[in-house]
Amino acid sequence: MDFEAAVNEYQKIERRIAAVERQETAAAARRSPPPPTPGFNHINNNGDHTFPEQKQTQLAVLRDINLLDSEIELHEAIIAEREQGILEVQQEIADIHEIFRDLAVLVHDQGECIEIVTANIEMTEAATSQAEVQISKAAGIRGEKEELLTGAGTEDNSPSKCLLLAVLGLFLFIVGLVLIS
Amino acid sequence: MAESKLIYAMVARGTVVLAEHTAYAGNFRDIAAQCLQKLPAGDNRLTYTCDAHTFNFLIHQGYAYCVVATESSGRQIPLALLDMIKEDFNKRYAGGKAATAAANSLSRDFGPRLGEQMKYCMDHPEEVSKLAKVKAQVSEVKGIMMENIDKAIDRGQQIDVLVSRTEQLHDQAADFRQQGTRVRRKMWYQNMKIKLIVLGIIIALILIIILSVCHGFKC
Repeated sequence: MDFEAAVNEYQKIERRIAAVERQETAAAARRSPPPPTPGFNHINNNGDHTFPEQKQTQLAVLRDINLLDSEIELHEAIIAEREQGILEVQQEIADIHEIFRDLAVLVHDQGECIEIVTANIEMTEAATSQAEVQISKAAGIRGEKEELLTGAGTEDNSPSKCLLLAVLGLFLFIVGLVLIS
Repeated sequence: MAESKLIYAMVARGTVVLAEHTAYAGNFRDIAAQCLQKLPAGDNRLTYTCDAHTFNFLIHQGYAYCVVATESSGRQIPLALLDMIKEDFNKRYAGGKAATAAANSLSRDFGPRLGEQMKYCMDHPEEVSKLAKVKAQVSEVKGIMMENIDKAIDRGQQIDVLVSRTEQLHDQAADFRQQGTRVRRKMWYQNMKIKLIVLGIIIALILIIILSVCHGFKC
């Protein structure tokens, strides 16, 4: 049952209460003027007629009141059940709120970890670049070493070869002079 | 919401039971018959409570519809079931057949239909009650968020592994830089070593020449 049906039911109950009140008012109006007493039979007939009418009116009023009480109990039960359901929904929404907050904390912590990862990778890049520079320099030095150590072969080594030959020749010349003297 | 348990469903004209359906045994038939005696005239809704069960009545155009449910089922689902039974009954017997039917003469025809509707309301409360539907949706959201939390935790673990590995990568890169520097110095040292040897030989020759000249001068 949705809200509109509940409102219609409430209006129906209000109309019934109003009808009961009007009925009571009419009964009171009928009782208030004293009946005239023209004759004995008329008095007896009028009295006999009034008593069942009052009794029937009271019974109808009691029955209507019982009906209204039953309907009120029914609607109160529906309202209590609905309140219970709404409280449960509220509790679950509070749980969802807490879950979202935990998720925010988790994501924030992971953001910090990712920043650490980024910093590590940047430092790794810098260190690797410097290492590459050092290795390149070492490779250049190694090239020079190989040129010096190679005794014969390519034309690139001819200046070193001439240098070595000149030094050896000069050495032999000096040794020869010393022996001659 | 606790699980709905619908015990008994019945349609009556005045105080004569036309059709009924139940999967349980008990005295609820007698209690329902007694309640039929007390029902007022005119369209109305009533609920009586007896022995932890609710007897829900809907009176409409001279026919009384009754649903018996456990107390824990609440009120909304039995009342919604009453509306469904009323609409189905009116649709099926709109030709006035029910006005002249004898007692229990419609149970064979309409009883299984009552059973189907009871089972449907028990199995799918969210279709019948808006509040149960909202509850189901909120529970679904809660389940999805729990899955999201689990996935976020897994992601956190993988990120921790990534942090460890990037730290190792950083350390190895630093070592690589140190090794590179060391290799460069080593190569430079060897290169200078050869040059120093050559320079030593040249200096030795110059000294020999100078000594010879002095020796020559003295001679």
